[in-house]
Amino acid sequence: MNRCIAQPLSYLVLERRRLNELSVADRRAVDDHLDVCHTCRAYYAQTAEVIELLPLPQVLPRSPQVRAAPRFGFAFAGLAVAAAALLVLVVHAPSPVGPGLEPPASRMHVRGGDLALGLVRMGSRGELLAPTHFAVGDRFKAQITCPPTQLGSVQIVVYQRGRAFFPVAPLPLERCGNQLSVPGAFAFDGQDPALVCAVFDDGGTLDRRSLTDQKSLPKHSVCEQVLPAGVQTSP
Amino acid sequence: MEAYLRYGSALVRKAERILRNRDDARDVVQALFVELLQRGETSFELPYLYRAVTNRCLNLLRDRSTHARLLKHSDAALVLPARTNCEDRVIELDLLFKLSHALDAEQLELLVYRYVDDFSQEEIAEVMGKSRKTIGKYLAAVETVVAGIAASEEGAP
Repeated sequence: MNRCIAQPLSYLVLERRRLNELSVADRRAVDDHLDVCHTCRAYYAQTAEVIELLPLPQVLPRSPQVRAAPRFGFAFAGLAVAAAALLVLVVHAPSPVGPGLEPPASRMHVRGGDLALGLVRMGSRGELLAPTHFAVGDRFKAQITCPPTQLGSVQIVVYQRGRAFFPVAPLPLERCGNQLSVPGAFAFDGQDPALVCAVFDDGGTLDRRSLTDQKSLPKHSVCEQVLPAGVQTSP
Repeated sequence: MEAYLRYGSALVRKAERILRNRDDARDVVQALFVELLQRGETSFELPYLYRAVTNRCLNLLRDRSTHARLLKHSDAALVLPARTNCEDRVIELDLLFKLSHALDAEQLELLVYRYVDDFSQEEIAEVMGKSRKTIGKYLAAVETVVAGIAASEEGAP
């Protein structure tokens, strides 16, 4: 064990000293400590290394998410035409959602925290791109967020052209957290918008047959819409 | 992005103290900045980024599918040992794996600040937005769990 003469200077303090981000008084205190503590001085020396970083790809800020809306039940079927018209104004593309129904948001609050879905899009040359759109050759990965209290499993479902696709295996939720990568990648084809949903079950096993109709998505579902390249989302 | 160049090296060092390999550390830091860019965020302070990197690294540790790969690529010589010990133990990668399934998210985060990053209790309280008293309680709970793991290892054949 490397012994400091007193309370060790944390790495955060040492890095901030290196970056000259400390107040005059704090800097003086750190320098006084380093003058007499050879252990912390050795750790401080490490902070001088300039590490080669991975290149940061050109990334566009995400466009605003499609917002959650109350789902219309059969009793409100008469509103379907009006809702569909509204949807056309919001997204300049045929929606995979269908008239009278907007998809769940990409984040929802549940007991113990949030459920969320994020997508990572990698272009054909390995570059990271905005996951709001897809093009031929792009690969997508799903990242989920769920609270530690969440049990069961999560299933990724893609709705496109009125059909449901299950591109990756269901992921058992042994331990939840932020932005967990769902194993496996997937791609889109065609010129139709797609809706990617993460469906969380609460302990039971999800039956894929029950997910073939996006109108009957379980309550704990979060979705992201992905449009073909060139199709504009609303500002 | 200016913040990436300014803080990148510090954050990679931070991630590699947990993950014990530079490639994964670089990946974590790059992915963090990609996410921040996608969110349109451009202004950060180092303590905020430290916390974000900590949580991303801990997510990797919680993912059982990454354990074997991380252990295979771990390089203990990459970082100096922490100056703060816990129950006379240095928190190494294999112990972190065990603790990642024995502690809750906040306890695990705290453990990293205290025994990997050598934070004082005041610094932990500030970064995590908790009272010093709460941090003291969490630390006591963490030390109990580490002691339990140490005892079970000693009793193992």
